[in-house]
Amino acid sequence: MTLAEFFARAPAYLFQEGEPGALERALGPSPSGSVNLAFYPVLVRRNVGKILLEVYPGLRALIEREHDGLWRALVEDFWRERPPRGWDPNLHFAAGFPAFVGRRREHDPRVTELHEELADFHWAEFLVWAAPDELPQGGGVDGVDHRLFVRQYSRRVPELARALVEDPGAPIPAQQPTPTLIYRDPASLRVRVLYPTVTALVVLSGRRKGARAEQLVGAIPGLSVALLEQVERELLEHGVALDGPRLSR
Amino acid sequence: MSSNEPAGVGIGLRRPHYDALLAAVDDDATLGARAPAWLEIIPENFVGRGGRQRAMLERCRERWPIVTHGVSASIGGPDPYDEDFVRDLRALVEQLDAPYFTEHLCYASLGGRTTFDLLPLPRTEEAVRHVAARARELRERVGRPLALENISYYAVMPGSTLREGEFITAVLDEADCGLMLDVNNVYVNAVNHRQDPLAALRALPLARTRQIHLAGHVRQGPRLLDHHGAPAVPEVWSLYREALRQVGPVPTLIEWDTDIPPLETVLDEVSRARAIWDEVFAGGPRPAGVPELSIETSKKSRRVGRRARGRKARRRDGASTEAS
Repeated sequence: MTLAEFFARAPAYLFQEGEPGALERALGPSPSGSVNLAFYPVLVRRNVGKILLEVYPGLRALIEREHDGLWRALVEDFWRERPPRGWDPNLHFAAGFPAFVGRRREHDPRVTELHEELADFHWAEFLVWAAPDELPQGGGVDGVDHRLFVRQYSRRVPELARALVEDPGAPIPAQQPTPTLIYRDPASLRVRVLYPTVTALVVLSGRRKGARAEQLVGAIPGLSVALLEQVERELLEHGVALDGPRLSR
Repeated sequence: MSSNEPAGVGIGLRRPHYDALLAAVDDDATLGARAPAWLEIIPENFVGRGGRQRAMLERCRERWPIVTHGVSASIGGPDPYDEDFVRDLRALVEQLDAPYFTEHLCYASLGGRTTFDLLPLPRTEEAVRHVAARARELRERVGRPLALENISYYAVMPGSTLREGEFITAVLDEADCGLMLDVNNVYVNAVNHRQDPLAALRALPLARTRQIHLAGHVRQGPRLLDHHGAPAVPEVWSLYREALRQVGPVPTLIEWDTDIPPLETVLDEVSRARAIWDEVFAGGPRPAGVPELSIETSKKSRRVGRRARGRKARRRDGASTEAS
């Protein structure tokens, strides 16, 4: 047996894509026996489940309480659809899971909008926590800062995600459209969540476009330059908005 | 010895311990004499990361020597190294001014697909030449000495013609690499494959030992699983004492990666390791519950250990997952 022959047959063995026992039939018996040899495909499959569990703990808890066996099926199908390619378990594997959940929702009525939102939040939380300190060209994911994610969820998803990690039976908050900012606190470097007012969203949007306060006053009723400046100061204090051109300059 | 050289007993830098370790960076008295002497990181957790990960690393480097212990290079695999990862690993090792770096004697990916596991190779002469050449290549590209870990293996691959000790010795000799001696793996492998732990330890190229790992394991079904989620068992401490006698005062690391407990619990393991260190190198008293090993007592303790851990494993069913 050559090493090339072993490597040629190892994927079917490890990823359970061939008949059980095919490796030994082709290359000879394992000195430690077939039962032990069959353990490695089990370990490989467990590893992908463990990665998704660590990145999406709240989602896993909710799905498991709602539908017996669904989480396991999602993990298996995702792994089959997008086998990991690359050394980073998060960026090269877990990253694709929110989009997979979204596609699954289109044809599996057990998968809901809330599941998709929980997956999205967990992944955004990881990206905010792990993103490099240097700003990429163009300013990042949402054009403001690559460590700031702006979302419109159907309810307070971050609170639910964290509650589910502590208690899989945590109640689901009432449905109410909820603007949500997920960002990195520049002082503590921890992930923070803010539920912004409409005025705060106007300020963030204006800063992104390089607008001046006077140009934003008419965006919604009741705005004034003084209010916009006050909200901008609060966003800067929270660390949601970073240094850069102010609305009044 | 330079300030970046690990010495004594250290721990792995893990996220649940960040606050406690930061406090110790700011104030020596926080952990006092129980503080780890050095830290080890999994580079994959830091490469390309910013924020708290990066800041934590920089703060800890102010106080401790830090070395890297990689899990994804797939040194024994068929795929070319990931160019970006090797470049970033080199930069990280240089930033830490680590005197060496460690990886596993295994493969982890093939045909572009990743298993996220540490997989045993067929133990053949051809595999020796293959891994040794790849190890030399990685060492050259990272620019520091490399030590390879003896992995835990749950099956011997078809076509194997060499024993584990013979295979590891041949690879390290041909690559001129160090041994990252994982004592728990020696024990887990010996029990799983019905070998004597002490004989298995002595079969390794101990003269090449650059660093030692200690960890816990769990019984799962018919085998012991190297899960890094429990204290080391007495038999592993006994093997550790024997290893120190053979290799001298080699830096030792406590690994804990699954169900990570409070830092104090990990430091309890550090204290146990230091007590054995003191016994071997400073004539200190023999720590309680760590029997002297011989080939015969090693066999006996293995039988007793199997029964005891079998009971323990049933209580732990479903509570643990494996970590390589």
